[in-house]
Amino acid sequence: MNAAGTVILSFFRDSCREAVEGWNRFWFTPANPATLGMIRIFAGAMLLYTHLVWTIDLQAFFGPHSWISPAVNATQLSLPDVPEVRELDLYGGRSFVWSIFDIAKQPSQIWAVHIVALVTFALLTVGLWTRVVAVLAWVFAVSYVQRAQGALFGLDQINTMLAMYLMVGSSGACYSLDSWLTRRKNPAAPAFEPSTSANIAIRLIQLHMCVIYMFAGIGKFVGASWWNGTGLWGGVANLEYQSLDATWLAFWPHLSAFLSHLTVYWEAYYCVLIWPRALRPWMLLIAVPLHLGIAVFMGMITFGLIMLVGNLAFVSPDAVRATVSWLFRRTPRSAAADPPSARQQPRGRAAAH
Amino acid sequence: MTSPLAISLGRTFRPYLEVVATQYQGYQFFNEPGPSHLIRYELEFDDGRETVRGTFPDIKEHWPRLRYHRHFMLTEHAFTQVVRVEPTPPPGVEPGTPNYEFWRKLRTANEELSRAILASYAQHLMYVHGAARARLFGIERRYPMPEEVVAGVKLGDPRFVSEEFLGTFEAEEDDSP
Repeated sequence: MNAAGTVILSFFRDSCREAVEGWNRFWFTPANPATLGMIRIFAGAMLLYTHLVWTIDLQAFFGPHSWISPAVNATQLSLPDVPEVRELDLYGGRSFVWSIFDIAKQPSQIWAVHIVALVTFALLTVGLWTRVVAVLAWVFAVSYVQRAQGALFGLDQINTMLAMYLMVGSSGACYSLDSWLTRRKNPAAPAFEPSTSANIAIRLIQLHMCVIYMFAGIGKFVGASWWNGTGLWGGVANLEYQSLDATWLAFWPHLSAFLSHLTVYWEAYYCVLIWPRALRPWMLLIAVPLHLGIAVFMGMITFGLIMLVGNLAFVSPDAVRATVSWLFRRTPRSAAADPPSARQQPRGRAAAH
Repeated sequence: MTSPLAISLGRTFRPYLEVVATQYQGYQFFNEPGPSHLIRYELEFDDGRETVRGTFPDIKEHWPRLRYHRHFMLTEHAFTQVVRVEPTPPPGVEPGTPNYEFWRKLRTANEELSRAILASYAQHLMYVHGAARARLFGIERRYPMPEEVVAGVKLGDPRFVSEEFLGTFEAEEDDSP
């Protein structure tokens, strides 16, 4: 083989090796669970609140005489009744949609499920029996979503996404009653034991957030209003959404257009610009007014807040711990106080959250 | 229009998407802001009671805000979400061709589903109030452009509101156990 062939072969060999190493580092480096624990508290609280609000209209949305009847709900969840669609389906038209409410159909059964679900979400928030409770929380979250098709919006998408990944990782390893009980029994037990599952869960949330923003952004590229700078106006001028009057933006057309363009580009390029360490704080900084703006001006407080919870996946565990310590006026544990496994975490780019 | 690749991937991974409840999650938030939709209803009784009138969502009745938003999504769902098939055939799809027939069947199935959703809303309202008949009206509210607001137009200006009769629905007999 000539010299050029050797160089090319060597390049591809090194690239493959680096790609495999990078892949393993990205997914399987044990991570401090502080960020995941904090996401569990906020997501658990949002799941609890979301389902507490369902309580007011429980039978109206989940009962036999609900807004969307069980029969209509099943119809809209199945493939269209068109022979060509069913013939082309790889699974013979079979539905894989499931919900506890397929079994619990009577008002008393629905109430029983609802009470257990509320207790489950409360336990997830405080982190008691988290491993089991996280699985149950996901089961309940999906069950409600599949039964209430037609009354859903972005909040429910993020709720179920976060519930799924909280189930994957050791979300109760810190900031939880589980960890408190463990350390009460064994004071030497580390408060923030790094784990691979915590890293995998955080990575999945991060990637999912990138996918969400990418589609939200490129979807807006199709809309004419986002090109002519009135996209944001369409949100604030919608009387049904409006919770705080922002029609003063009509007098500031350049500001309105700038915010519209910023929204689109921030969303579309989030999946790229959130990864470099230098840009990440700026991307997160923009996320705060953007989502709080949706919360305050468009009345979607829950949606705005849960999107910020999703963004929390990009905040490093060290920053989470420092913030918690500052809030509770406690000195953060020094690195020397951490277990050896925590100190051995690689400091490479891919290992950082 | 969806690409053939996206359709094939969607078909292949449908079991996973449905199990984890992501089958309709396009993550398309406010792609193109448009008018908002409400439903006005009139409920009539056979026992001589006066007609009950109302609208949903109702910001005064539906509190907290999340509860209001759930009812708002119901009306938006009936008007927009469920119409996943364009009202006119895609360019180049001529009547009499297999593609046109396919589009027509899909469109019909979606229209029937929209109708079933409205009927479901009507049945719910009649069940709650004990009414015999429900008449539904769709309200569409467009929003004014910035220059109109600068000129003094208000968001709630009635000129931006249009109403459409959606139908009369008779109460079904309650056969639930």
